[in-house]
Amino acid sequence: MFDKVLIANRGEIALRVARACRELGIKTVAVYSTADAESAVVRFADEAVHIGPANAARSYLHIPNLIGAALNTGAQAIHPGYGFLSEDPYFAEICADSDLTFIGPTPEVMEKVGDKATARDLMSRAGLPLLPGTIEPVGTSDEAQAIADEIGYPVIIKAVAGGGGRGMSVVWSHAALAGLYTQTRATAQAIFKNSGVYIERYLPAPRHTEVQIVCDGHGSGVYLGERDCSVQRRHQKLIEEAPSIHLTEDARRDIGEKAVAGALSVGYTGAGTMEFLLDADGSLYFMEMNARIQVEHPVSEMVTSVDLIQEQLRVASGEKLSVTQDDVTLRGHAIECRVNAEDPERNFAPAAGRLDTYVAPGGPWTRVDSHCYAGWTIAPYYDSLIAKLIVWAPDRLAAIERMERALSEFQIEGRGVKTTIPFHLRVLAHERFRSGDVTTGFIEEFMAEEAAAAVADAS
Amino acid sequence: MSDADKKSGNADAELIASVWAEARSLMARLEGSSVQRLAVAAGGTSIEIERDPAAVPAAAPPVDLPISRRGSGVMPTIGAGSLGGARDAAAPTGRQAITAPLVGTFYRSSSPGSDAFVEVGDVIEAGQAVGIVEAMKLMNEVQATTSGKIVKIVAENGQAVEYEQLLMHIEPVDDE
Repeated sequence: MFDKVLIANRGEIALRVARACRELGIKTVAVYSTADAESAVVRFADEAVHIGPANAARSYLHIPNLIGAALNTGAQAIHPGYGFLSEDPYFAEICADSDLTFIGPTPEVMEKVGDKATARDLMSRAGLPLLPGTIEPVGTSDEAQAIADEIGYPVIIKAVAGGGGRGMSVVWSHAALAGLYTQTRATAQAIFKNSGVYIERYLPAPRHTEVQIVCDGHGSGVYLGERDCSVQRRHQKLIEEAPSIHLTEDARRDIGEKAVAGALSVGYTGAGTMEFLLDADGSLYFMEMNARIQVEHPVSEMVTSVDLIQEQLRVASGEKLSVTQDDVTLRGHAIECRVNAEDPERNFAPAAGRLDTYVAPGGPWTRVDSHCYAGWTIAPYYDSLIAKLIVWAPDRLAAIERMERALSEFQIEGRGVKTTIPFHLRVLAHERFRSGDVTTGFIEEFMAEEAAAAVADAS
Repeated sequence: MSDADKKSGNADAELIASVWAEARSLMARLEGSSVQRLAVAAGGTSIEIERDPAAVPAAAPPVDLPISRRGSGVMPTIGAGSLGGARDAAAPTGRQAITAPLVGTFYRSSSPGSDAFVEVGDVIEAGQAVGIVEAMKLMNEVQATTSGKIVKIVAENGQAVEYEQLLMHIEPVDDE
């Protein structure tokens, strides 16, 4: 195991990683920008290095400073967290060149799974189901037309290099295809500097279902069940839960085994997530792989009792996974709500500021992953996440009730500070959420419903 | 060490010094251009310089932070000690800090054995090199942010430095 690990991130995930390190007896090096000089992880870590100004391009994304900080402090490995450089093969390569272990897959594997078309091709060969469509980028408008006609409408055109919901168009008819094809390519070129697009069947009401896996360098891999992350607003996840109530035990085992086989087939090491769309008929279709720890990993931890960050550290140091598939059993139900400094009444506009009051909820089976404390300022330079509130209960309804209790305990106040807590409470109270009848379009429909009710009230 | 080794060592040092000098003159000529990366190679020696055109060398606050601070290992509480206490409040008027522009190893000269860029008492121009910070085998010049006299050199040769760590103090010189 490592003696000392540098955490190349900030916020709650930097603290989450530092906590796992401490539990394993690993010394930690935090890095911070000028804006984060008084952050929780800087205070918690054994050492801290100032790496640049508030602007992330010159601090958390500035590779020479991160490498310099690791070498200066004698760290053996770098944990990238999520976001920033966590899926940058170039960074992983530079770590290797500097004799530092990058905690994640190798740069070659990261590059392969990071390219959606390559990942789909590789995973399809390994036996994962794909939506009907193309794997290779589509070269011409005529070709696109022929493919779409064969798949049947609606289809979706997606940028090969896309992400975060940008660079995609839904096509509902033969007549609309050519125009949208050209338009999507132009958008893809403008945003991602890569005009490549592919086409696949569009599912109007899917559930976002993702399988957590972790593999070691000794040829072993396990799946830790799945998460349902269908409660999203513009592709930003708001509420995640584990397990999905829409998978049978057999379907869970089948997709889990396929996900592990797919990961091992490309030599994947570390924690990763396979994203799928779950159709109303129970079919699962592989979408993409995330080669990093994810924001919502705690819900999987809560139902499996496996500490994913500790497994990442073990595997990266060359050790074997601490669990086998037989050790992994799902127990109960976990829900996570992302508490963001955003104003739901103003279309989720950032509402950052100094937290004059910050009192996190407690009590049984209630977990708060957060870097915040009273006096901390949510700065405008970074994401608006204040806390991830995670609860566990023996069943889903009890978990919802526990979450309502915990959210109502949360006290976050400050000038100009608004949070998503009231929004979460309204979602949790909604009949469709409580019954589990939620697809990726739910939040949009929910908000439209609320807006309509407000108009009716006013008249 | 044999004489031959010494000789080749000297020759290497000379070559490095001349490549470095060439690189610096090129850098000076590139001032104001948008060139970001520059590599100069001669024989087996090469120097790569990366510039950050976005980095305006604004007068950095004289913050005197050590390279590593030990954490308390406990979660912060309300009003926990501010880190601002390390600020160099005692600096005389006019004295300015020259700080590290990036994380790495600070060197006072361009190569081992050669003269330091500056010594205490030297009067220098804004933009003049006062040292280098090596990061990932790239040499990054530290430039004076203002003209004046070097009054104190705080960082030692070969010391690990972090972003904005105090390297030296410079004081304006009255033109009379």
